[in-house]
Amino acid sequence: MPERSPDRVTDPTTEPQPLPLAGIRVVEIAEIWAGPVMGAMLGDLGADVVKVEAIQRSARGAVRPLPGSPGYPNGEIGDDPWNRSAAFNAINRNKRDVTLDLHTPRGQALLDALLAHADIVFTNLSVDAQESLNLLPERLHRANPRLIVVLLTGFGMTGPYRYYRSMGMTLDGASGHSVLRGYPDLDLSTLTPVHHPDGISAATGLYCAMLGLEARAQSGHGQIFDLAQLEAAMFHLGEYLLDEQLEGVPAPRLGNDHPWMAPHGCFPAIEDDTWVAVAVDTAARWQSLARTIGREDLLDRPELATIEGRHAARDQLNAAVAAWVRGRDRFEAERTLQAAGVPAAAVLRPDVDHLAHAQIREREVVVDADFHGLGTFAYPHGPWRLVDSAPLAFAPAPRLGEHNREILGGLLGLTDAEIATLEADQIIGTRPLETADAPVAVRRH
Amino acid sequence: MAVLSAVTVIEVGAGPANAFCGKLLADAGARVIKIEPPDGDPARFDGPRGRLEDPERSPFFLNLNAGKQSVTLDIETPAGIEVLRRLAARADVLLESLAPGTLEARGLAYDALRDANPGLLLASITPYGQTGPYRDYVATDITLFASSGAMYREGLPDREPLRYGGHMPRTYPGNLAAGFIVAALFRRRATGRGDWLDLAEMDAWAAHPNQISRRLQTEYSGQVEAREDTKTAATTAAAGFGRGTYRCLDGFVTFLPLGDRHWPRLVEFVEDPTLFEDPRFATREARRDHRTDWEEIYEAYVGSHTVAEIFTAAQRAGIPSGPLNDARRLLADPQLAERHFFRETTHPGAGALRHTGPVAKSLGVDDVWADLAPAPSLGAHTREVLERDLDLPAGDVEALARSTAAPTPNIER
Repeated sequence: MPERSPDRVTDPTTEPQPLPLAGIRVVEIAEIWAGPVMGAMLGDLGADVVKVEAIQRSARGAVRPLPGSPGYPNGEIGDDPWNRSAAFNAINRNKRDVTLDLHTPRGQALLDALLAHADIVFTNLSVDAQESLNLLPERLHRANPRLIVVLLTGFGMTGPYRYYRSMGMTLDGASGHSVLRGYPDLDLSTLTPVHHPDGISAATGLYCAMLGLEARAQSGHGQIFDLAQLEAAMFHLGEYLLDEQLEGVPAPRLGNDHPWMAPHGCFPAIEDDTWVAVAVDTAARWQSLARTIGREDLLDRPELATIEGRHAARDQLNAAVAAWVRGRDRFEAERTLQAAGVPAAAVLRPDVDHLAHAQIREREVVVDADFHGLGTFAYPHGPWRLVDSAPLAFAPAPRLGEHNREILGGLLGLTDAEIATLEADQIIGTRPLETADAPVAVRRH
Repeated sequence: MAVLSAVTVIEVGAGPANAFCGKLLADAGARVIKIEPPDGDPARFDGPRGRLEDPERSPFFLNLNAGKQSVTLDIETPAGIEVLRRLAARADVLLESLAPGTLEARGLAYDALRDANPGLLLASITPYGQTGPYRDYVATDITLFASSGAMYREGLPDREPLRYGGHMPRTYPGNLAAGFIVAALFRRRATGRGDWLDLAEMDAWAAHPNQISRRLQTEYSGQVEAREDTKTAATTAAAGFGRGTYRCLDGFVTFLPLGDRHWPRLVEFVEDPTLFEDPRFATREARRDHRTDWEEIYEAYVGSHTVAEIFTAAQRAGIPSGPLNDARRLLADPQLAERHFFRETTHPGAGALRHTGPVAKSLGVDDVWADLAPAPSLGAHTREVLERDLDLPAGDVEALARSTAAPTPNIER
């Protein structure tokens, strides 16, 4: 086991422990989903996460959205829509916020000063953006050689695609996930765009950052992780690559069918556009299901006594389940089947259903809060529990540049006059410039 | 030495979530001892084409469990429970996915485990968590995905929602748990104490950025997610042109141009500058009104080129895009080859195989990742673990090994 001093073993019947990352400081230079979610979880775990933004670039929605645009509290864009955006506020809990114009020498110098106080720095900006903002790992380690650096890019820091642009949806296809989805009778152009890779990247980035802390604790050295989001997403599909090597032909696309479970599918319930997923993987569950849906007759059929036999008859078995589900409310169907020990679940919408769902509320996946006086809403909370720890952090997403004074003055020691000059020169600020919406020109490679 | 080389993980319980988490830990050098029932972990018989006969040829098992050790143990018997208790008393992590309450019923509640080993991290990953009204619910990939909030919008509005491919609905929570586990191990240096991590797979998905963004939009402004047919849903000028998956000569490519401001890039991409003068596309509103015309032009261009040509051209124009790769294309992909993304193992049953990973590159001076060993044969390490880890005399080991009997084939469970 790792070396630890017996003197430090504390009495487990005493206080909850401090959160795992209490005392750790993180610098986040990240936009949209993958990076910022990683930052939010680092904050959940107790780190002081300092998000570095810029008034020159809007990553919080339109600077001047049309009045009545969706995604603002009670439909009001207000005087500072960048501080009122659902898209930003949902993702960026538990952070402090500074703005720095990293295209200027002073902005770069302030970043150096901030990094000297940090343990972890991470970015999900593209390789292009890292180069143009001088954020490559060598520079980061010059500022502080003990930093844990985590770089989340679409395709990686190296290779022929390193400058290629990606989003979660396009990585879903590139990583091999898309071809495994969809109705078997329709072609792949009908696929719904999905953004699951972003969650994988955030989770993997967190994992790398934690490994980095462990490695540094052992060696004293800083660390650098080059995380290609393509690779992190592929890591969940390794079995298909092994299967391809073993069989030589691709596995078939099945929709909601399963290679061997039956019945298996997603069935309409009594109310329009409500559904219940049901799956049977064992003999015991098959017997229980048949009895529950009033089809004991099926248990007398010898050809249905094996997994192979049930799979061959899956259309018929699915039809039997469908007929039963069709007459029921989705939650009643779910409850009844679960009471019989059969895997079943109502398809839940992530908004109206989750907000009303006992699991989400009791497990504190959302918690009601009035952040920044915007009104009381259900905000996302870290969804896991550490029983012997202080509660996970739950603080609002920051306003733009909200902590400029606190960090530049309090942590980095700048005077009020110096801070005022930086504001006047637009190195820092709390309101995005009118030009902050303009798209960045494409750099050709 | 790989960063978790001094860490011992006991992995117990079926299901992809804790196995995927254990895989990540094994990749970083942890010694992951997988406790399997005498008949073998169910994943050994779970194939993408059908049920498997040979427990040593499941691509799913071979992938999830590369680098781990296998110990067969019947943890429903007193002898098996005693072995598990002793293993937990000496381990750093007990990574489990048993039905909530099972450990407690067998005398292995967290309090008892902690008393015997104050530094132990108990990590429990189950479909609905250790608490709450759904804790006793059972799940498979499709049912868990139904609860996740991510399934509703998958598929066409007039047909059933679709499940996600592979076991991703259940491996994603395992991906999350790995970070929380290493965070707790890091803290243990200062406190000497372990903890109990309770993660519900449904909660992990409910907290995914796609779901939390969607939910706060509803909270703030009342909008509710609608299932949409992406090809025909174009209700605002900001909605995507050329957004979605399009057929090429030899496959498909997915595009995500970022709204109307990427219009110039799309015109460059289809190599027709006359479109800048075309009145149908002169303004944002005009582009929205003539979306169907645009889609025809776009489809015709994409459909007359190969995946490689389209991917290169789209990227040159600065449009986020990606081909729809399958396993065969990925195994031959030039980017992955350049990055040496695949690792080889040789497995006694399945032979030489190329595995994905490690999950990120470490560019620093320290070793982070371990070399990859093949997945273990069923029970391959039973005797080694019982003798070495538990200091049991050889005679006792024999008795225990006999009570955890050799696997019987094709048991239907």
